[in-house]
Amino acid sequence: MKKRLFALLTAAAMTASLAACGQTAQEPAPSSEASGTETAGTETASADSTETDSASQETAGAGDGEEIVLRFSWWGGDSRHEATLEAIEVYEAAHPGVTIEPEYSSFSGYYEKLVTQLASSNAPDIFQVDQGWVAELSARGDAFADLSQYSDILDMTQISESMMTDYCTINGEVQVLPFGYNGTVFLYNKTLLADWCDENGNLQMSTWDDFIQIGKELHEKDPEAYMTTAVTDGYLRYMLKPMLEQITNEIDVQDDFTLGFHEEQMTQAFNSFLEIFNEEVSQPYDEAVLYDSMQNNPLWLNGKIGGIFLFFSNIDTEIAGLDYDFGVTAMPMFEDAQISGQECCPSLMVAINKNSDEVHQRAAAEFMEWFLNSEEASLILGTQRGVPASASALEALESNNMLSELMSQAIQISNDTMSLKNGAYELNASVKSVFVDYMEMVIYGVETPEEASANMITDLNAILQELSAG
Amino acid sequence: MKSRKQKYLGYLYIAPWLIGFFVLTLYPFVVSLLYSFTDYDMFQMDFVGLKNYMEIFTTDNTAMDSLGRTLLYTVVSVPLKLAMALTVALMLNKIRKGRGVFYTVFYLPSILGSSVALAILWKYVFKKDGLVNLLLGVIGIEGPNWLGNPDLALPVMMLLPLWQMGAPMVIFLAALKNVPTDLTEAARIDGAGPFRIFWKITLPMISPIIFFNAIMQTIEIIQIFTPAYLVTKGGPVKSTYLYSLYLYDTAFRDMKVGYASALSWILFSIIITFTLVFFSLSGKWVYYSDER
Repeated sequence: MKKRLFALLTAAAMTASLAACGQTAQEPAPSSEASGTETAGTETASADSTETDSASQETAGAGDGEEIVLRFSWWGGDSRHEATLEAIEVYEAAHPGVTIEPEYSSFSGYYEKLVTQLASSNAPDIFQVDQGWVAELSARGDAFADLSQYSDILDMTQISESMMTDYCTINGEVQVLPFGYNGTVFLYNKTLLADWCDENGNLQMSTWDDFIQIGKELHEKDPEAYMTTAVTDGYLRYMLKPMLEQITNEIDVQDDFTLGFHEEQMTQAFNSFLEIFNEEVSQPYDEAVLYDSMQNNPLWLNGKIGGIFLFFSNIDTEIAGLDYDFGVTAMPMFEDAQISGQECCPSLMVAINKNSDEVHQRAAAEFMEWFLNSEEASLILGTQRGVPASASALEALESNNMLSELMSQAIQISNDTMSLKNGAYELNASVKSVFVDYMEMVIYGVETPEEASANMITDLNAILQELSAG
Repeated sequence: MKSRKQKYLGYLYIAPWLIGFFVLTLYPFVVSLLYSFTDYDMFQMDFVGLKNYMEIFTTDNTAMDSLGRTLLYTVVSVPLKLAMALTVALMLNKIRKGRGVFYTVFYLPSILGSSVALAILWKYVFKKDGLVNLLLGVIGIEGPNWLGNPDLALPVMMLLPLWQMGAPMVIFLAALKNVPTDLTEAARIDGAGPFRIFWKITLPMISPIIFFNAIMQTIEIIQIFTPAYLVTKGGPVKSTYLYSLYLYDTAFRDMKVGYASALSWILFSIIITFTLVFFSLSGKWVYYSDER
């Protein structure tokens, strides 16, 4: 018994000392990182003392002449990481005393981590968020600082007014800012679809009927080829949901937690959507979904896919290494549709942590001003976070010919298309999973469109009720 | 005094394990039980009593469906895996030359992490244009789209654990070496064929090990997560949506940590109950040579 007690105590003591170790081990880390940059002279200053010093000294004005460490988190692929790290280096070189500590990862798991960090008041000073998370994070916690209090250093007029009101301003506070904006277009393979293009190489397709007609003819001509393909998410976001929006002229999940469609409208959307598979316009769903991106779908790589729906910022990635001639065009629409159903929205948002003290927030705002609006940063960052939402950054890219021909066309198409603002809860993870589940059941014939519509509405309402209860 | 000091030194040596156990196992274990009576969502937490458990058993069809699927998966996979491990062990027990090479080859898949690499490999093997269908094509059969077909995806996934039978195999191998040769020799002299010897002598002699392996494998497979998450993401049409995947989605996608904790405690109770039942029935078929 005594032995066991001792073991327990030892363990408890060890546990406690581990926690203590964890803390001390963490703190020198920022300063050692700082030593690698321009601020080498002050490498002995620990981050901890820096923070308290600057907090007590500094009340007004930007943080010149003192040490400050800002944590900045984002997700992305390697090329985004590299560009961002390069930008951070340039900024640090120009701003001695400011150290930006990067925290980057892939998308998977980012939200889970961020939510956990916010819950434990340990979130970074600056963090990237998806537009679909903004409503939930804003409603539930004190996550986002009001950026309008820093309008003296952070120029928000570079971002279009509609984007500011639709996506950034909540309860009169500017809670997030967009890095870039993005819209859905159809990127097509001119080489494969030459028979259906006019003499200028423009695809003759404006309605879903055209889309299906071309798809049928294409598949008859070449049984290996299909008009389109997508990943699971793509079938939902680029086909089923736009069809539904074109039928209803409403977004599917409204901001007041009600649905923007009736059962019959959903059934109609399902039926139109099914035609894409029944007429063999799309690669069979069960084959398409086994590939998690176009870049490993052999049909796409071998030029056997007519085209894909995508956010235009991804154009360059998707055609990289492919030797075909490509074009872009707008989403197909039903003949009597008023709106296109394309998503035209800020691609990625950025926020400043409300729990950071004023000095850190102010320094973060200064960094964001440079990162979002300056020519220097835009030229380093390019379109790594979509097409810049800031007018000055976009201009910098255009005047330096950093936008590809296709990308510029796509931006034009997207700007000319009528589309609805994304709903705050449309892209909520739980909401989306219900859509995906029923979409699959309809495709596999487990439920008829009628059954699926009725059941889906029941399930969605249950989730929306939970969300509205907070 | 000195010997006492040395005694404590032992604890110091195992301290890394102890810390890991207390911090990463025992603490989450206890806390998850507490969470299971709350509606914790990573922001706030209210005590809700047994509400989570009631909901799971009365209205949550997804939970019950995925639980049924997981039990089916376990009931099929565990015997298959054990049979595979035992077969390979029997074969390895016979060979004399190059034994080390074969040991290594068969054990190798079990070392490859928590099967992430294998799961990815599985996906490529069973793709529409994957290895299996390529081989079927050679003999003139057009293979189905294994992972895209809701009726085939789960059976294909059931085969995945067979790869990683290294651990039970090694244990079987040790047990086979301990089967007394005087018994098998006597049987052979009395005219028993190899099948009969296996059935009447080998199998009863290694029954405690079969029992041990069966329990260990059941505990492992009932919690299986990686293959379904990586290969099919639970699809198509939820045909491979296993319980642990639902648990993960509930906790980290829907942020219902309290509810997910209740789900995990239900799984834990099932495993415990199963193990106890298995133990109580073991007297009927497990043979211990030191019991008379």
